[in-house]
Amino acid sequence: MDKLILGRFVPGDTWIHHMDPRSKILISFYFIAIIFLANNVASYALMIAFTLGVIFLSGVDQKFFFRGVRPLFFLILITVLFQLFLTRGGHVYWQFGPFALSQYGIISSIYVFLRFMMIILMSTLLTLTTAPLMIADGIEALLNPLKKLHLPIDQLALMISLALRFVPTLMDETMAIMNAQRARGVDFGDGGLMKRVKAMVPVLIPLFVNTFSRAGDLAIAMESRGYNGETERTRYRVLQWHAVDTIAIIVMVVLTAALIFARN
Amino acid sequence: MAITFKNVDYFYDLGTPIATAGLKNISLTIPDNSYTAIIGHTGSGKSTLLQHLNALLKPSHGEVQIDSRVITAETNNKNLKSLRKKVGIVFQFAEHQLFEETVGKDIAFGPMNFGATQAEALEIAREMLTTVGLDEKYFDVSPFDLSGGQMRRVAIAGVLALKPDILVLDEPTAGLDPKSRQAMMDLFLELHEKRGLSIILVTHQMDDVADFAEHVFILEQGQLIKSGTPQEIFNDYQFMLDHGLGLPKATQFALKMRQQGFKVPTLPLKEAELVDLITKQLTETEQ
Repeated sequence: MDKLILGRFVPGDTWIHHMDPRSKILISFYFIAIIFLANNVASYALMIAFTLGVIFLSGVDQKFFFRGVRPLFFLILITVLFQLFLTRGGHVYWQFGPFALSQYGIISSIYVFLRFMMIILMSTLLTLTTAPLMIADGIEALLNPLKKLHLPIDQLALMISLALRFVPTLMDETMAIMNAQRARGVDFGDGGLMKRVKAMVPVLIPLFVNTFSRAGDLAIAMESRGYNGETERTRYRVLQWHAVDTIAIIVMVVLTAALIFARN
Repeated sequence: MAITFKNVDYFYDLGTPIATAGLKNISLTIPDNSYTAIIGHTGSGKSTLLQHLNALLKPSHGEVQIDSRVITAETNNKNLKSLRKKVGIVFQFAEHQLFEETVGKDIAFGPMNFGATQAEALEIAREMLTTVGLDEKYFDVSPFDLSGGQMRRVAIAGVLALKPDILVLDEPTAGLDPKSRQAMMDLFLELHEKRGLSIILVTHQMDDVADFAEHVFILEQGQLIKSGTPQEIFNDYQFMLDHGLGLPKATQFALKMRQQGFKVPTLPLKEAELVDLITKQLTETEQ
């Protein structure tokens, strides 16, 4: 349970940590988009070098990144296998019914694998180096123009920050309830799939009940402190654009240029 | 059934950059058929220690002996179930563990996990419901329709239904009204005296320590900093105050009397002892 990387912020004092969440979010998405432009060895090498470079700059222990990859291992594996055996083209090494091991299949499965890894590593980097509330602030700021379309951006941002805020609380509570049920003789790691799923019922029901009652309490606490979704709110943390952010944007422009030059 | 800790260390997130010590070199023995109190501030390691009592956590170093079973870092997670039947733990805010449709089924959940048939388990559940002082009419009621204090009792009944030899209670009366608090503490004393259960009580209430415990362990930052009978630890009242742990009300009162020049030869811990002391003083002044 504690292996879930979401919301695991590792504080630090690096350039990456000091960047504005807005530029970090934009750059992460932008990077993920331009990964799809890479189409040969040179362009992939460039993107991998960049990814490893920013990971190094962030100063976060590599172990945290591997933990981010682990939950998605099967998704990556299955996608890679599909690419490997279902892509046709070039020299065919082996064939069985609809499956074939071909030159193109091998190349494209390697590319898919690298793409996956880079996307996961970059998004993990974002959540590892940015406090959850800063991410929420960043998303809110970036979505702000949509207010013109009368979309409830403030409420949406509040929902995101509340959800992020309660991730650790829910984790702790899940652990506490699991311990209590273990003490009453539940064995979570035991038996077949059905038995394991059934063993989760005594955990999920109290978790839901407690979450609903907490949500009710929270709403009352907010209202009693005068929260009103309609009014414009001032904020305690004001986002500030630094020189680092401008530099980061320039780096991305240079990276894009290099990428376009490297691809064929 | 006794529990012995030998040089137990416990680290959270062992092997990661964020490893933190939960327990440091704890050695202690909780004898058979005893009433033990564990006190200490929030974050002092009490809850970590509790989870070692039925092998929910295993020591990172050292060993915990529960009855004849020795638990070390290498102990396999399988086959620990029999231990959990012998050591029942009532966690903090135990009412959060209720999940069944009816109170009866919820109490019967534990026994059924340990192999009782449904009929047997419901039989035990009925018995436990009255043991914790709830009326039988609640048997078929949804636990979520009860008050907080009643839910706490149902949760305690759910642990008692395992028929444990040792009952571990983590702040069982936190957030309850004074009357329920008293009733609950009386229930634990009765279980100890009449049914021979060992009680291990984690508490912040020094009055409960004074009134019920036979032995006290004090934890601070994962270390055992003091242990002894309530009389021994409260006699060292300066130590207790220095560590911000407080004193029983009777002891506080007697200390104030001593400051005012009254003779207080032995510090009273319980209300009755304080009454004795005052009566003695009054009769002496009259003479």
